[in-house]
Amino acid sequence: MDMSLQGHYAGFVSRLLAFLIDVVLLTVVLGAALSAGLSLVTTVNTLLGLNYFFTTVLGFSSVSVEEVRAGVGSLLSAVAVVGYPLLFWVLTGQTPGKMVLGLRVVTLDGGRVSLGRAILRLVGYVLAALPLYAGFAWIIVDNRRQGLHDKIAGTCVVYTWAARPDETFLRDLMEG
Amino acid sequence: MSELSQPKVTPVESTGARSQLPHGRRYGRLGTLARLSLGAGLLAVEALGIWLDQWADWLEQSEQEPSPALPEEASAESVLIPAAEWETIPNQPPEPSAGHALLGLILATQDSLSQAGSHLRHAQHRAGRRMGRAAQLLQDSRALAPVKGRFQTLVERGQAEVARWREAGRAEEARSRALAQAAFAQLVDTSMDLVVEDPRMQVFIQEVVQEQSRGMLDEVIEETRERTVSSDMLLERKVRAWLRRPPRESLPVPTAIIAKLAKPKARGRE
Repeated sequence: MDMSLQGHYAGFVSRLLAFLIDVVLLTVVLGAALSAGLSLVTTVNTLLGLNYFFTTVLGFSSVSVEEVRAGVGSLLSAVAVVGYPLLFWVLTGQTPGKMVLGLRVVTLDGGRVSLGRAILRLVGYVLAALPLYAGFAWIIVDNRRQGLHDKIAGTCVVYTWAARPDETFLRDLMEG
Repeated sequence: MSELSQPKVTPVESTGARSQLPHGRRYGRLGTLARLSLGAGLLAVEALGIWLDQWADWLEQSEQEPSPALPEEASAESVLIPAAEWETIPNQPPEPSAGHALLGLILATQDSLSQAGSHLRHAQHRAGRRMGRAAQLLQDSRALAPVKGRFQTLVERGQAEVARWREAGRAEEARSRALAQAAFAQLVDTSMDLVVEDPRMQVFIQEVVQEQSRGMLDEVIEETRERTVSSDMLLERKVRAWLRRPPRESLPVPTAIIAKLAKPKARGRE
């Protein structure tokens, strides 16, 4: 009896764990990038005199280096948080977290996710989070294991590996 | 490599000038090799004796302990596959094995040899006593009195020679052991140097370590994946039960997706 679930819809726990891996990874990478970016701002200010540039050349009398640092930080964070999933969904259908757990985002007929669908899916994330994350919890009861964001974008998440459950672990969980 | 100079080996004075070689060296190659072989043999026998004792203990313990139970997954019912769908394996008696018969024969032979050795020792003891009695008769005989003196001298000379050998052996044993230990340490050091200095060996070891690490990582990832798949199923079962919805019989099969995943090369970039 072939128990492989390759190509079948992936469940909530797998997807949640993949998401957490992505969050950790993004935090580490973003932290390093922000640190480097803010150091760069400080160095450039020291060397070129950004205060002078902003106040005298550009005429922004109220802009300080701290504000520039905050602006750079916000910009980098926004680009990373939005760009990270979009880039991976469109290019491979797998973020690093999904790669680790052998998951892939595909369209309902198994095709690759276009940029438009990826953007819709990202918007769907926000909408799914609004009703106390119920949009994500819908994965647990949906027939195709789709969350609200999947429904909006017409996508689903499937196992890309020869997925099979660990029966011993499952039995332990059920008995415990 | 200065390991050979580590053990402080004191020369035996009793061997005297007889072991002095013409070119001024005290030990020739042959002498060193003999001592090295002797030391290695002694160490090996000693180690083998210790191991044999340990293995004997282990055998005795394993005989006293009950045979291990079958693993749980072999005895318990599968959670996922209904028992009716299991492939039935007929419960056949084990086939007679020629290998087992050979093993039994070897062990029985060992027992027989052990008993035969014991019988042989008893017989030797009895024969020795009888020979002793006969020799005593000859010793007491007056006709052999002239020969007895010469025989006694010969015996004393032989005993002195044996005593000298014993003394030399005692001294050589320690020296041979020290030599074998130093040679072993030198061999280990040379091997380590070879590993450390040879770039090909370094690459080889690096590859082995990397391969093992990769293997371990793969194993951890696979285990994690299997557990999350199990958790997916269990969570759904619990939530559905909580919501009073019927348990999911099976997931809908996304045939098109499965077909596409089966041949990812045909999809261009994937």
